[in-house]
Amino acid sequence: MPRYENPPIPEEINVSKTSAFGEFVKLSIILIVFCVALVVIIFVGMRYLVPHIPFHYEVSLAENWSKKLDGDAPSPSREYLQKLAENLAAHMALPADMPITVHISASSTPNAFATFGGHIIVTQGLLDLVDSENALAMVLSHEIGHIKHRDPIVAAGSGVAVSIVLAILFGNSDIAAISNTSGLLTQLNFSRAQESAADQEALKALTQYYGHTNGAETFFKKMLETHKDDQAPPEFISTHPNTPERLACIETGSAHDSHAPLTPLPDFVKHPPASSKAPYPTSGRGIRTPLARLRERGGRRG
Amino acid sequence: MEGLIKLVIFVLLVLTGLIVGTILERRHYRSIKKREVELGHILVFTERMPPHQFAGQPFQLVSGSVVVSGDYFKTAAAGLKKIIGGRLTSYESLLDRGRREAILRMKEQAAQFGAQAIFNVRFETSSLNQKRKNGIICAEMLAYGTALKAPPQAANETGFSANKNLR
Repeated sequence: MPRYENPPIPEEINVSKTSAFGEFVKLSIILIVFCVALVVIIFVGMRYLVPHIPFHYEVSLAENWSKKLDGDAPSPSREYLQKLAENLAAHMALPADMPITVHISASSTPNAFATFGGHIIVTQGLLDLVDSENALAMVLSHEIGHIKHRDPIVAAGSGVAVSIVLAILFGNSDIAAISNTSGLLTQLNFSRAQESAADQEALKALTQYYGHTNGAETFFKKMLETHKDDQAPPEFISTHPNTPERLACIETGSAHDSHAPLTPLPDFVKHPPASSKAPYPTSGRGIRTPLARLRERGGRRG
Repeated sequence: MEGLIKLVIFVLLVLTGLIVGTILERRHYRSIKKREVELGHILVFTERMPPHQFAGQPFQLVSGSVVVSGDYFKTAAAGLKKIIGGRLTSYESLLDRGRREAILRMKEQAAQFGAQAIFNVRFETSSLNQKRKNGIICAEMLAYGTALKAPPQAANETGFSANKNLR
């Protein structure tokens, strides 16, 4: 007669002793490294590919909406900005097929950005904030630097590519939180690198145009002053480097000169005329109109 | 910025699942081991044919079922592991607990009947997952068999403890 029995079963047969948490951490690190590598490959790949995309593709891409940006009446502010941008661009070694067009937006938030096709949009809020032509030239040449490096199309293209790849790989799963965040932080790192490069271009242009970078310095100092009570977001989630770092870059530059004179802005930039009676009001001290001054300066510097 | 908020929520859920889930799992395992010792006199077999001395004895269908669900950490760890494949160690302990709990509940029902053995034990598992592809895993484990009372004069050499827990 067989003996019927149920001997106790050892615990380790069906359950492994390896720590699930340790494995989770190890796999998460591998996932993060993979996502960072993916973003880096896509970004650097875009930067290599983009010089092969002719600029006139971008221009025709932007043509549809850029025509609607400006009103019908000619604006003296816009013409002044356009002339200033063209003069700065002449000192920045832009390729011949990159036209720069400046538009003014009525928004009261200070902002300026460059988009496809060489279009730069400056808000009225920014025009009210700057207090010298040098500061405005810093902003404009920074945006022209972005266009020169083809930053709009590189950033937009790689952003779309990264989103698509991560969505295909991880979709809406729980671990998409890890992959999307690491992808985002890497993209922001590249964005900050683009901003620093554009800053360098702007400082070079300012040095060639005015001989010094004082206007840029006063502009950033003013930004620091205005926002010194606000809580600055940590740098790793910002698209731009922190303002103190940008200021330090300027102050350690070779053309740094705190006492160089700044060129004032014309009046109509701050308060766009309600009527078109006097398209080129002069400032009260009888100084020549800005356009005449620019023409003269263009002739002097070639 | 909402990407960062999603990450923070994800990390919080993982930590909650990990800490609370581990505590609950350890507690469940302690309870399982204790009851396995208590109910160790009821023998279970998948054998279809009971020994001859059980002929003519009262018998009854007994079953035990339990629904187990993983915590958020188990699901996240398994989701990561699925990319490269292999043993999902986070789910192994969950299903092991479910199986043993099902057997114990079946034994408890048999103990109420007064049986000393359960023959022809079978297992069924069904998953109660929602439609969402990556939902938290949820499974029902069922164990059922024929509970038999041993005859009073069952010899000790066959291993069945007669007259124990007769109600």
